[in-house]
Amino acid sequence: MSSFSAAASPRSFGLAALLLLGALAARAQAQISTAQATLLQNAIGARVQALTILGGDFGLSDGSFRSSSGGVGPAERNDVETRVTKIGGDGDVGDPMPLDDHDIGWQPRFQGNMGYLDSSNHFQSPLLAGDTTELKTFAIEFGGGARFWTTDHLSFAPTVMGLYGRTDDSYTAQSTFGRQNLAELRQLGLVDWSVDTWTVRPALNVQYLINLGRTIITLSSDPTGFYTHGFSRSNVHLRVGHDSGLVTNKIDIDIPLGIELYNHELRGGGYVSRTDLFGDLKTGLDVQHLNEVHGRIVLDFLNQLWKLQWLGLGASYLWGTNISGWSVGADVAFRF
Amino acid sequence: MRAQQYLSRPSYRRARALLTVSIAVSLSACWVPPSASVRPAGPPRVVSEGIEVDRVAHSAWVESVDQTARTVALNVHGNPVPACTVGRSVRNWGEIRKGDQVKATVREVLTVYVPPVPNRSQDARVLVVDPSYRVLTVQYPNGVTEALKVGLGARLEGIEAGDSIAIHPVEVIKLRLRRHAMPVRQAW
Repeated sequence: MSSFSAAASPRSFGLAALLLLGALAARAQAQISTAQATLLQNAIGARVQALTILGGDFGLSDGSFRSSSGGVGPAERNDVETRVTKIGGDGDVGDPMPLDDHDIGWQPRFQGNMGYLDSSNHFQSPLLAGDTTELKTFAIEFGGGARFWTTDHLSFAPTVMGLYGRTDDSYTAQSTFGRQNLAELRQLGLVDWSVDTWTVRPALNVQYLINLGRTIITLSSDPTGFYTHGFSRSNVHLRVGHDSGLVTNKIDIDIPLGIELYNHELRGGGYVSRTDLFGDLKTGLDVQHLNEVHGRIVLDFLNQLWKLQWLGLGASYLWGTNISGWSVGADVAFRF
Repeated sequence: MRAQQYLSRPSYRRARALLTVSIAVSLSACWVPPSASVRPAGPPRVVSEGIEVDRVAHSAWVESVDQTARTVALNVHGNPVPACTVGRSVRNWGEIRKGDQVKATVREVLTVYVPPVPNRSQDARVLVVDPSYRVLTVQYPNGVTEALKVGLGARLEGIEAGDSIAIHPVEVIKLRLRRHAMPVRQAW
């Protein structure tokens, strides 16, 4: 179970194209100019990429996001609800093996994820009151690489992944303005559109292990890039083809508690992380960085049940630019 | 032009710097693969004893059965396990015959030592020690390696790769029949 809430800056234009649409409608009350349409189309492109990554990449948390944000004034604020469901993960396979004659160990690494995102925007601006738009994104990604150990503590894992996503937009017009302009909005590719995307995701994980008695401290950094292109567009005006990035720095602590439950040792721990977003991911989500504190209490199953390392409960609190929230759920780790 | 714009962004510059540092560190690498054949440091001594492990043999062959004494001798991957008592928790004991293939969980007690130590057999050597998760990876004389989960009370401090291990089977605590031995055909 998880819950996130977000509050965007009133001056921000990056949250969503349809928030801009609400603002535009309130101000223009007329036909949409070419410049305005281009602005909206660019915002849609950024939003599509951001939602595809949020929905399909294993590096970002799933959960339920709620934002109350809008265009340039309080009267134009809208409620946006986004739910993200994911299944996936990453792992190194086997024990490190010598790399030829070098003093480097290596092991294969696999990463995969599948996700579904549903984002509903309920317009509250006077002209669009009652209108809703719903974005649905399905995304799947898979890839891998290798982890290279330069010492028993320091390792580097370059990886490449491919991500396929499909995003559908559906607009329900209840307002007079919405009903009157729906045809034009559709023709401009601003509503009722769909687009497929492919994304290449190169990344590098740098990890340093510290053993303090039986406690393990892991320091890691994950710079990641996303290069996205759209295809199979329902409308020629849809433009999806931008770049994004994120860097996550994390400190994880794993503490054996010396207490046995059902023949399994209890372990506690968690992590503190900060994720900085770049490019369309930042503008499309209107989030510059995200901090997370995660705690977990788990039972050690390593070498006791298949490849399961631990199983238990975890909880997170998140905060950052325009976002805060929490999540609670099962905490599961495997070691292959 | 567009590529130049990306390459000049701070995020890409940081990523490039990180990659450069990574390559530099990789070139000065000093990782060595784990080895059980390294010579242990220090004088001959017992490093740790009374280390209890429950060793699971997913495929073992029954070499002999003594129903009266309630003992069984197993062979795991070509390594004979001396006859040991079958615990009262093993309910299907009556079904087990010589030549059967079984999955067995054997409670063993390990002694880790630096040889030579009198009256200690060298049944395996230490390959890797993970004190956090209490996993002791050992290597048998035939080269086969096995990861053993040791009991919570076991003392793993001081155990290093290359140390010798004497294994003393105590009791078979689980026994699951996988396949009965093929019946011997009578010649007519």
